[in-house]
Amino acid sequence: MASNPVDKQPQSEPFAADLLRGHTDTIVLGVLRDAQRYGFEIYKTIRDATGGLYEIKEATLYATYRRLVKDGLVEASWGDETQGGRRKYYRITDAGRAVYRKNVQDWTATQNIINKLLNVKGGTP
Amino acid sequence: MSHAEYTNIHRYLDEAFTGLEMTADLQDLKEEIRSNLAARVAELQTDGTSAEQAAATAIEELGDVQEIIGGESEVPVSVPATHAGAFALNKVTPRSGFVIGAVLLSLVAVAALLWFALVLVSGGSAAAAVLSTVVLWLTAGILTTWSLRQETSQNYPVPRRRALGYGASSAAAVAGLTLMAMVSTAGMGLVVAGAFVLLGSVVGFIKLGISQTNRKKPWIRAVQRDYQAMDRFSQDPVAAARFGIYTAVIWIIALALFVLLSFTVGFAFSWLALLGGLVVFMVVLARMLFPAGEGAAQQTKQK
Repeated sequence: MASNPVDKQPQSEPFAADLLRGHTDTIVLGVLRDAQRYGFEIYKTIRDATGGLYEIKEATLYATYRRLVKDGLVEASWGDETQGGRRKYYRITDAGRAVYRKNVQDWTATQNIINKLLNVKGGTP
Repeated sequence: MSHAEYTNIHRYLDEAFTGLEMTADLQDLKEEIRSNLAARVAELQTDGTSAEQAAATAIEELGDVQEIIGGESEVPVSVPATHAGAFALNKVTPRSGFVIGAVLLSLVAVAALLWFALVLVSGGSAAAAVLSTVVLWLTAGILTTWSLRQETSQNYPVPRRRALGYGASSAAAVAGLTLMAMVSTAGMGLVVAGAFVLLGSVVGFIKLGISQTNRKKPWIRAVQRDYQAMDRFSQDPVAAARFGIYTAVIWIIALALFVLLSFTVGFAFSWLALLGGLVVFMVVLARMLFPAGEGAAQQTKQK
């Protein structure tokens, strides 16, 4: 699928984009859990995981990387590519894993509460 | 800012970064954006988009590049006064189960060590020697793993598998040392076996050490950034280098004395050499970090 975001209106998204944006840090940590990745790889993984439904703006991602590195939740390093330009890789730290696990727990608890308050049965509306 | 007309990512980036003082951080960011844009362009081209259209789309998707740059150059405001508050917010009280357990385990370890020493000195049964060492290395391993699994005010817990690795390496280190200590009762074979176990422990620690990532909490990193240059060794690299040499000399002498005393006087007293080394080391550390002249100089300056 060649996505063309130019004709996509962010206002008409059928989900709470603000709510999603609030979890960008955790989403990135989750993407880095199993392997170290570079910026575009992270972006692509998030885009493909939602089937192109949700795209985080890359500008938001750069701010996220900077914050995560500053807080010591991920570490950045330049890889040595034999062809093409070098890439900056991010990998999760032990602190990052702990924060990821805690955020997922918090989210699960919050989700349960919201589901209860909205009278959603079971958790899947 | 309109950037739909750009069909070349390099020209686009060069123009976006013109007029800025190119710090190392900014250069780094520019290269990172460039590599990500290039990756996106390559992906679009494999889907059949023309080179120019691919570049335009990639640039469009990037969003506001000035916003990214703006975030980079913004100076974080450090407010040391909030650190006390940060500590209060992040304080983690140790779990009582762990504290009690760790104290009990330490007592068991000390008892096992004393028992082992007695067996070595007075020549007890082989079973007693084996039992005391097994207890000793088990407690060492469990204590290490358990401590690393604890969340503290400063650190997040180490993931389970890595904590087990550290525990196994510590247990192997203790096992190797005790095996080598039994040389006087059980012969040279044990020294070789102990050396191999110790080697395994060292390899384990090296593997864990080079793959160790940050586990400090964000707030403690903020505190460290603010106070980074405050201690003597970061202000005065020469003092740090001098201290490194002193340390090496102190421990080489202490170890040499330990080996010498072990063979002449015996294990009952040779450990005093290591204790002496530790005392000298701590005194030197205190003298290096807080020079005697400096406090007096500051006092006279204040007058």
